[in-house]
Amino acid sequence: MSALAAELRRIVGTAAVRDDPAGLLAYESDALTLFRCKPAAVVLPGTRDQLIEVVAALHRHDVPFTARGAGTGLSGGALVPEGGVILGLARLNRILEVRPEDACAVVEPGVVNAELSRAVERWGLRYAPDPASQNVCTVGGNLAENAGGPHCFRHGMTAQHVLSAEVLLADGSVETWGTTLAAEDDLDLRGFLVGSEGSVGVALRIGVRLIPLPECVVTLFGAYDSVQDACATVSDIVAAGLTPVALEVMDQKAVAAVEASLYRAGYPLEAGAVLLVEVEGPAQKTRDDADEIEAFLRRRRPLRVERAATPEQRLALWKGRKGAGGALGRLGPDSYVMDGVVPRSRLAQVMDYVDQVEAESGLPVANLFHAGDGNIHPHFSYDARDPQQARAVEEAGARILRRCLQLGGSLTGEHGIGLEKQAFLGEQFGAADIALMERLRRAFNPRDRLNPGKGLPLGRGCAESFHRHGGYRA
Amino acid sequence: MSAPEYARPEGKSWLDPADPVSGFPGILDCVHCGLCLQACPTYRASGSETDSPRGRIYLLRAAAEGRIGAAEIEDAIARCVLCRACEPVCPSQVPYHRLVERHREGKVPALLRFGLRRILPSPRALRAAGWALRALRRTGVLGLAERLGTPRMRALAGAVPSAPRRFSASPGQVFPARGGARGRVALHTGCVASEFFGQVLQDAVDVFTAQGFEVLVAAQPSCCGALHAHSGDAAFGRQLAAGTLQAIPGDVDAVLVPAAGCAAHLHEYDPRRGVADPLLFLHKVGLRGPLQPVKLRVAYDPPCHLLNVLAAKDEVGSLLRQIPELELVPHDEAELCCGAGGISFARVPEMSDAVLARKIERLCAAAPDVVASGNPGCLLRLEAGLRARASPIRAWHPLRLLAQAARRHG
Repeated sequence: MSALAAELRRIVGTAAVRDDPAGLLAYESDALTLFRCKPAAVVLPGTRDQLIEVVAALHRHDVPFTARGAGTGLSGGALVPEGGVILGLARLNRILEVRPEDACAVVEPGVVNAELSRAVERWGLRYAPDPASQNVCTVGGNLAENAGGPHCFRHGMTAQHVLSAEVLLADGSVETWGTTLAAEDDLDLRGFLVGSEGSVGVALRIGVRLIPLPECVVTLFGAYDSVQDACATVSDIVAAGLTPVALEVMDQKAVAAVEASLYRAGYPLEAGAVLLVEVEGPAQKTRDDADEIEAFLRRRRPLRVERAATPEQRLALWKGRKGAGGALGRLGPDSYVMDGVVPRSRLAQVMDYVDQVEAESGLPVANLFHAGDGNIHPHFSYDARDPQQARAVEEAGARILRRCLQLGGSLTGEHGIGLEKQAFLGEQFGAADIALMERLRRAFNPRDRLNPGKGLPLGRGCAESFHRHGGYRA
Repeated sequence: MSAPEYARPEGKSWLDPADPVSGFPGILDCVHCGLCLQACPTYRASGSETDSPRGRIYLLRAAAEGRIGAAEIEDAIARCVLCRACEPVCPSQVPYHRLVERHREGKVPALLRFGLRRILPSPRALRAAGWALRALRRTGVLGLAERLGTPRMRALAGAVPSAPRRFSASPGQVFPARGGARGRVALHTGCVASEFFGQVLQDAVDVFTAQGFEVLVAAQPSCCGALHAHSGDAAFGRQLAAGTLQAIPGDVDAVLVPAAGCAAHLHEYDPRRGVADPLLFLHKVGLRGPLQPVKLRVAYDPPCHLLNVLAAKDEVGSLLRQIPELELVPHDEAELCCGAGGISFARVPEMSDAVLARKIERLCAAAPDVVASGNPGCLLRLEAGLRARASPIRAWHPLRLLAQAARRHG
């Protein structure tokens, strides 16, 4: 490693290579602290050329690596197994080109999601995917994980918004996949790249679609006695053919945490669940749709229905929703957010099951979820330093995931498979499917050096080689 | 409505006192979500997790739990400029600055300790140091050090303004209100400010007397103790804060502190004493006209502690917009720290320089005549950065613009 470290320092400069204890420790986990693994080195390239040189050097030394954006992922995707190198791409944060008339932009992977939207606002445009971490997470990380967000219910996930990528492959060569023009490739490699969790290549430049800012936005919420009533209201709204851009549910514990935090938004504490709905589009149609939605919100005996009267109120409601995950952190020393999907019609059923798991495991669970997408996010509070609790959390998560699959759902809505869900892949896909995916990945990553041990359960560095949080003290 | 069982009552901790992290109350509230990253000027400068609030909290916790040696994390914690921009964006409300201050507690280098304990709180020592430093600036010695010195020497030399001026009013002096009287305020002159920023203090007197306030110059000691708290000498800092506030009579409408960092520190020390930033106070009581035109293009760069501790919004902007012919020009990343960070500029000059360079670049792009910032520490740092670039932009306290607008005809 020392020969490699010296070479890396020559490429990016001394300060941009870390192999001291603090530097390595700070990169041992992402936003899912259930998993930890210290890298052998961290490299922070400052330019595209440096990044290419670094990857070429890693290729020559046959060292595995994982690209990392802001490290806000929730499936352990930004960890590298022992002996590997972390490529921190936060410094590659230039917006290279905005073409307002073509409604697209070309950015470096470290550009922050919300900053892209802010930068293109002056042309009446925005970048649609909006994960809760949008103020800090990067477009490159979003691409790797095919990130979602509340508004993806209407606008689609990251895959629908990445038009092209200049891709750095395992051996240091560079290719361009896709195009910012409305043309089609013979083979959609761009589509293959998005959501590949860093195991196919590193995006050097990303062409993204921009969409117009809406003329009018209306945000409403209904507060109900139970999560079940909120879920049923979601079904009513969708069944009526209405097309809100976001449908979000928070249960009482999530609301309580938000209201006790700096992000308090005025959500009613007495409600069992709050349903947040947003409509956008041309002014007249949006207001008509909002009226219709309001009527649906009132159908199932709500405790309260409200419509944000000012842009500030609207913003406060969203700040509360997006800060909820962090606010829940105050309930215990550690938290674990899981991610699973069920058909929308099965939401009430899976939430019943989450309640059952909470009762049986004794671990407090709060719920906030993208109801429109059937994408649930139970938040567990626990103390990772107690190995028994750490195990109980993993078990509880596993039970809920299996239930999602039984109900016809899938393993991940937006957090990715990462380290967290590898073991379950065989329960969603047959052996032949996994073998096919494996062959595809091997075509680009023959020696399993790009983000090894993530996603597909194969090769070196499977989940067992990562330390489970809690294990270090046991 | 009963409080839900999941909302942990404020200040109550489930922590066992024997827990290794119990010395860092609130540290376990961090869930490693990373929502603080972009608010942090040092993370934005280096792109490194160790320079982020999340990374520092993680390292502090690991050190407390014995997973890493305390010496190994020293550098990462030292590089924090304590701007506290991470605190208002933290959904778990981790009391970040307390964790860093707790870590620094008792680890004050001897020379710094001497300066903090013997010079800053002593009017006589301060006066001698001020006299010597003003002479070094006038004779060009400091300018030479700024060009040729090591990063730390450059930083220290840059901490004396281009045209330092002593505040000539004596402690206890009273300036009567002009025009219709509206009230009475005390003016905290400060340690460094009274030796170098006499202009700012004079401007404060001019503005408030013109606005109808009787201004009482606070008696010594006049150091608030903020630098002590940030540097690991918190108990002494509290003593200074207490002494400073005791020396001020209770029958004033406000204790004005024309240095946002000091105002924030004194306000947090005792929220009931009416300590106020003069600009926020002026905004609250309303600016009285008529105002003379000030034909300048001004970029307003808010001090971090005005935003992150005193929770300022657009008060200063709204005051400046009332001055005829003054044009406020926006610059990018105005809300990010300039890198001064109390004495961070001298403790960790490399990091501070990187943060400052970014700020100066944004300012030069906006090309105002004046950058206005209501904190002497920031003014020193901005001025040093602009001087190094030979930029014509001047760094002023917003009070100077208001004083010009308040001047009488002729």
